[in-house]
Amino acid sequence: MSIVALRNITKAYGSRPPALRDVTLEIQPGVTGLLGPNGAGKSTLIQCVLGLLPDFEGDVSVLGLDARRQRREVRRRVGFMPESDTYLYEMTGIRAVRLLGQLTGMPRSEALRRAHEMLHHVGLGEAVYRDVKEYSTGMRQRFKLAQALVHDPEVVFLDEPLAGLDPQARDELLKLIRDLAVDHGKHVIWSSHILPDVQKVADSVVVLHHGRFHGTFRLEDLAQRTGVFHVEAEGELEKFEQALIASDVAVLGVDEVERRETVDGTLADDRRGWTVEVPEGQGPSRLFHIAADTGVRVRKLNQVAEDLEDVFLRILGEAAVEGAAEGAAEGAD
Amino acid sequence: MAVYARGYRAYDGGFGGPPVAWTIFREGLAAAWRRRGYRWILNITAFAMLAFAGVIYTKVIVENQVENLSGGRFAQQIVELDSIFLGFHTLSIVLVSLAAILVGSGLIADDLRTRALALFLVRPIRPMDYMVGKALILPALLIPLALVPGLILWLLVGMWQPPGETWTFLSDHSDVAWRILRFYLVAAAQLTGLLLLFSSRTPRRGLVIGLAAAALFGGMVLRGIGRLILGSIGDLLKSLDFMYNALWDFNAVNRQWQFARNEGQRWNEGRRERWEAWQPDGDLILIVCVTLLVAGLYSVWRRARSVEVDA
Repeated sequence: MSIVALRNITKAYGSRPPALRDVTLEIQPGVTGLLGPNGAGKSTLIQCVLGLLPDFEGDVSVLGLDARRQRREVRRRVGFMPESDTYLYEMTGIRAVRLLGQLTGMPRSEALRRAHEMLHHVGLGEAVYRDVKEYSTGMRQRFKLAQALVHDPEVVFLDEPLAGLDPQARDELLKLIRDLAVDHGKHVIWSSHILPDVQKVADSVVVLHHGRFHGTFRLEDLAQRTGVFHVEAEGELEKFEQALIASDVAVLGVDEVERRETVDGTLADDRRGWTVEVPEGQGPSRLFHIAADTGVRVRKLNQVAEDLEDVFLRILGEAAVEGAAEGAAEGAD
Repeated sequence: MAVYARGYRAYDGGFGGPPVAWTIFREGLAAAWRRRGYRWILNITAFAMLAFAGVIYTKVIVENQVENLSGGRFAQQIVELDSIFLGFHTLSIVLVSLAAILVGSGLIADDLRTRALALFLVRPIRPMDYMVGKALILPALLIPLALVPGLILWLLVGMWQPPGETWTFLSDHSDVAWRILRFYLVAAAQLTGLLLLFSSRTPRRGLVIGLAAAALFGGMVLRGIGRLILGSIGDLLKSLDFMYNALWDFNAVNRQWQFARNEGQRWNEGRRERWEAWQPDGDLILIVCVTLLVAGLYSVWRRARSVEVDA
């Protein structure tokens, strides 16, 4: 069952172009990265799902519940860490998290106990009695995570959770997020435009651009989607390289050459590596055939995983082409 | 094991807490109570109440008991009491307005400025819960400023009556208690409505304070203009002096006593007409109170439906 399902969601702010245009997608369990450049509609999408923006078109369901009709039940089961710098005026960390727990329906004493636990869990144990206004950026990010978790939600929406953090704080928060999913079975929906962070933690990603949905995929599938291999061979290397170039295999790069001294005192290539892309549907056997034909020994063969950034940029490129085509079609009409 | 060493744990408690409107109200009340300005005004009100109690005791009770012993009129005591109550509440409405602006200006504006509304609205609460919780804060804070001191003064006057006459005095003059209650209700309704309205329109607290002060002091000017205009527009303008509206009952009773006391004397000539020209209509005051309150509540309710302004 999908965690979140959106059907034909369109949302516009006043007379401006829609922030979301006819978005239909499903988000699966686990950690999902919601990717897109600034202004892609990521925050708007989260706010529509949470019912914070009531005036939108389309249907949303969260954990199988209708997000419009069963809004309160949905909100009891989800947590939200907003992107904006948010705090409660003139309140200490413990008081604010306790209050937000109470607003979820927790009794005061339980909410207080839980607020202590969550603030300690996110690393704010020493600052629970300090005014949130005095917190640093990193502390406020942690505070926002603590308030999102105080009522033990099943799904946690994180809107740019690592914004403004230094590398060490990023790693710590990434670990917290990953632990939530792996060790505690939380489903995390995480909006970001920092791809390496998402790649470290996410199981799958959803790509948005200019308010449109441009695809979803699992990160573990990235390797299988590519026909790029790194092959290392020894033997008649020049001959093998010539054969590769002459074949339908595209040579993308050549590694540094390892040389060894021969018996006659000259240097000869010992081993060399190539990054190659085999035609779709052929797989690594194509490389073995070429190696057999040229008499070289394949010492190592790895499939090269496609980088998330490459995929993302490719999708954005395709989106730009689609947008231009649509614009041209509209212009022709 | 220390609590922080446990790591993340699933919540095993229940969700049967009190209504969220109550939680919002209670937290808002506690936050306002922590404000030094509010506590200062409370102290000044308490000091003023003690001072007026001293005046009542010496001026009304002692002097009139002496007069009564020498055959003086009891009615004089009542006139002076009304005058003193009017004086106390005239001072009180200024303090009440100050406190309301101080506390009420941030009721919603603080949540908008710190973007806390998103944190509230992502919880299982309805816009109505947020509205009710916020709307109850100001009336509750005004109870010790606008209701309790007047009632204490009224009870003190009763206690200072000759032995055995306390309950007789209090029941004979229960209208004073009703006037104090009306003073509180009108002040609370108007100030709550006004401040909820302004506070939910802008995140800038300074602007809310400026607008509220302009509305309160501008109302005095409007009443002055209203007395020059005949008809319903003039009546409406006269009913927009929010501070005077709260005092309207005290003022009317006090003036009627003065006119009655000076019946047939030159003092009264033309004075009643001039006074009446300044007076707002009692029904219109009620309408203004209800309208302001409804407008304020509606504005907060609308604000609590969406965080679109933050998006």
